[in-house]
Amino acid sequence: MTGILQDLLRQRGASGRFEAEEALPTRKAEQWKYTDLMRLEKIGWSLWLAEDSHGVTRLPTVLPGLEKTIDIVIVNGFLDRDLSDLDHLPAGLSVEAGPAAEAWGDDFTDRLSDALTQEEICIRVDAGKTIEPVVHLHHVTWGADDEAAIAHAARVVITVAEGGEACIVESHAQVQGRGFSVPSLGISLEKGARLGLYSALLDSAGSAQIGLADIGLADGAVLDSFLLTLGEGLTRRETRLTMAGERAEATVAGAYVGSGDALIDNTTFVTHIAENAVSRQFFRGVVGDRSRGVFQGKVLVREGAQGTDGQQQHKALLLSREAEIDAKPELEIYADDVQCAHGATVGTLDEDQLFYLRARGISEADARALLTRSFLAEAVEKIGRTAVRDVFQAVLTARLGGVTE
Amino acid sequence: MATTETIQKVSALEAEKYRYGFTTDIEMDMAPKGLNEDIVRLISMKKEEPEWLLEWRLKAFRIWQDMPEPTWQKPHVPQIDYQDVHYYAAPKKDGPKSLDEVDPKLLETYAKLGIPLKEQEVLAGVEGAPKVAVDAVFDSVSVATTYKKELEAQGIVFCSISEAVKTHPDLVKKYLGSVVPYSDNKHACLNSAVFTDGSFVYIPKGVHCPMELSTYFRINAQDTGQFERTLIIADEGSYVSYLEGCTAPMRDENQLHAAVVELVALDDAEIKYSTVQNWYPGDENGKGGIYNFVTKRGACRGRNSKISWTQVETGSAITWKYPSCILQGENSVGEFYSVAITNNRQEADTGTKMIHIGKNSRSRIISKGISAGRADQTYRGLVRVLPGAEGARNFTQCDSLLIGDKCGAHTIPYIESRNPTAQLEHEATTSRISEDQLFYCLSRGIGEEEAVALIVNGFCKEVMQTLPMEFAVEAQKLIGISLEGSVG
Repeated sequence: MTGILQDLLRQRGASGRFEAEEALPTRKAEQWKYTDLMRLEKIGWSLWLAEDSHGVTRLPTVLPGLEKTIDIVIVNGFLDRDLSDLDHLPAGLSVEAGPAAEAWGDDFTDRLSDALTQEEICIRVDAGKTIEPVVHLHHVTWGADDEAAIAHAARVVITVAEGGEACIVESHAQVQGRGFSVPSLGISLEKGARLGLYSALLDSAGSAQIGLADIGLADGAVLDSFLLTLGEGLTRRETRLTMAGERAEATVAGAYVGSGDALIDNTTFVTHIAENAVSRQFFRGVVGDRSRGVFQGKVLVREGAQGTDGQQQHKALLLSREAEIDAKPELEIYADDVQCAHGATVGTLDEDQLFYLRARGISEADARALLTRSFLAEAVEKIGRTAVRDVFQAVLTARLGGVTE
Repeated sequence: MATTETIQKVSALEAEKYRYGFTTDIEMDMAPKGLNEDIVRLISMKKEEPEWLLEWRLKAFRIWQDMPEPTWQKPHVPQIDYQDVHYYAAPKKDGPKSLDEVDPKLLETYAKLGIPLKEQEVLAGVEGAPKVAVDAVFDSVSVATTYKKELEAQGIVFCSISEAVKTHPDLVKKYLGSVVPYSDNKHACLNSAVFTDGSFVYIPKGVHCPMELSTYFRINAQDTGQFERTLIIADEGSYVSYLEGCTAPMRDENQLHAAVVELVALDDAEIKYSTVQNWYPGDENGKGGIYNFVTKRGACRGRNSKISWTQVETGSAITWKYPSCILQGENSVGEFYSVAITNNRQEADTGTKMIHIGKNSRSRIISKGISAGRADQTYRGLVRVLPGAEGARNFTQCDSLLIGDKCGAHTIPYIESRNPTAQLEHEATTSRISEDQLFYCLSRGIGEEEAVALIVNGFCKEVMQTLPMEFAVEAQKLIGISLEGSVG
């Protein structure tokens, strides 16, 4: 018995870059110190293969109120042409599906993604084009029944050519059954390109997601990104950002709410290679019940990346006695003309603020809800696109109603 | 003529750079190089130790043999040849009865270090002058302990640990290894097996130690690694301030120093532990230098107990240590104030651990790292709040200053909270010396090196203020000396 990893590789019929006896990483591995993958082991995941057919007929509304979108639907890791808007794409935008190429690194998540991915979906924004409507990437898991446990891996490669601009929203949710998904996202922003990338990770309890976003920015490229994680199972997103171009700017913001037995892991790795680039990480999280929030953020400033401005902030609230927050904000700096800072706090709601609200006749419960919402709103406000911001805020507020102390 | 002058000038500069680089020739009683059970037995026998301590050492040695070298650290630690080290070296003469019997050369050494023992006796006679008791460690064996009588009058025990094994076996047996177990880590394990000396302090109930206790460590004989073991116990309601200062002679051979320091604070007790570490850092190209791999840990066992660590680390080729606090007692307090300076090829991986177990336990971490030349420095810290630590508080601030574009500064904090009433704050910054500050100094006729030393001293002010007076002046000078050659 070699565990779920070897089982999935057998189903795939290839072992990729894994050793014969290799298993999922344990907490002894520094990168997985706070995220225990053992909960995946007890489940008999079946890998979704190209020849399998699903029964999704219409899309669930996961982000109510999101208007004017170009829908691209990925079911169990494969592009669904019938559900997607491929026939009405605006000029300058193309979407194609083909065999997957190799991923970007040698980490466990890269290798896992490589081994399980069967299709690569390429989205391209042509040079100088601005795609006005929001492109919505729907990732959905569908199983034959509620008991089904489906493993799948989708890969989306996005290229925004020189001077191009687009806004992409991705959502992850289950239609039926539970999923173990390994989504990977490769993004290349060429010179002066601009991308808004807003992700909502909404997997249901019992599901798991180990995701990877590998993003490269060329000269003057601008990334505005946000990760809303409300997954009730195990949700890990690794965001790897390479500031390869001068004066590139990136915002990686996020908010998460943990409830039930959720484990939410935001792992970021920002590498500054070019001069005068700016990166901002801004995360806010709330964990209740028996849930756990993990933040591992790293800023690496390579030799020669002078003039770097790298900021990182993670603040979290613990709402229950059985919840836990683990943070590891890391700086590794090899250039001297830099301004780098990080801040991390873990705590509870401010008693003075609570008292202030109570003194004005607001009930304890309402006061707590209000303060929690505004705490998270500080992160949501970072979303540059107003329409998306409002939708994400509404989804977050709805979820907060269900978190108990 | 001009050539001679230049040579003299250069050699004077070299001496100034490492002021404490000299070797004293005193006859040594040395065990053969190498490490095995027989050496452990020899050390124990030489020390006339009881059976239980020998057994304890042997257990540590056996675990050490099977324990792999750690690999998670940032510094590049060369393979250490443990068999190429003398594990026992003691001055041949029997312990002197008074300072008069001490080898004059040894006294000379201390004079060079700026701590002449006799002068301190004189000083003590002066009204209002600060009193400092020195348990001088010359290589591995304590040879002189001053102020003993004065301390004894209050019931304070301040002696070498070997002496304490004989005079206070119950205390040693009860507390030795109770904070840093013999199986703790590779270097602590080695220390447990072969430690030869170190200090023992016991402050009885309700006693406020009337003077700063101080030990000057000094690595002296060629190739003798130092394995000091320090144990400080502050009984209920007592207070002690302990100073540890280190210098070492200049030489090429790398030297291993694996000390263990254990502090125990009982109810309402306070221990303040200050270190100035200025061991030989190696030359400009990274040749030579001390490996400083130390395990320092304090247990705040009692209610309202407090342990405060202050360190100024300027020396050693590699500094690798995390003075930590286990905050077990209710309302206990842990503090860590650190200045670490790395220049040339020096490497440092240092920080602290604050483990919050008791209710309302509080901790404060202020770390200032300065990296220059081709040096590399890491702050690594852990703040862990366990479920029972109701109302725990932590504040952490880590600032790094980079001087030059070939050095590195890294910050790796681990923050783990499992109690919703706990408040943890961490902030860190990395930047270089501000051009404006430098310009301001230069325009007022202050030289560049002096200006850098001034600015760096300002950057470290919060930590320097926590040092006892005796150390503060020396430490400020050290900062300037350590950064020589880092600008221009």
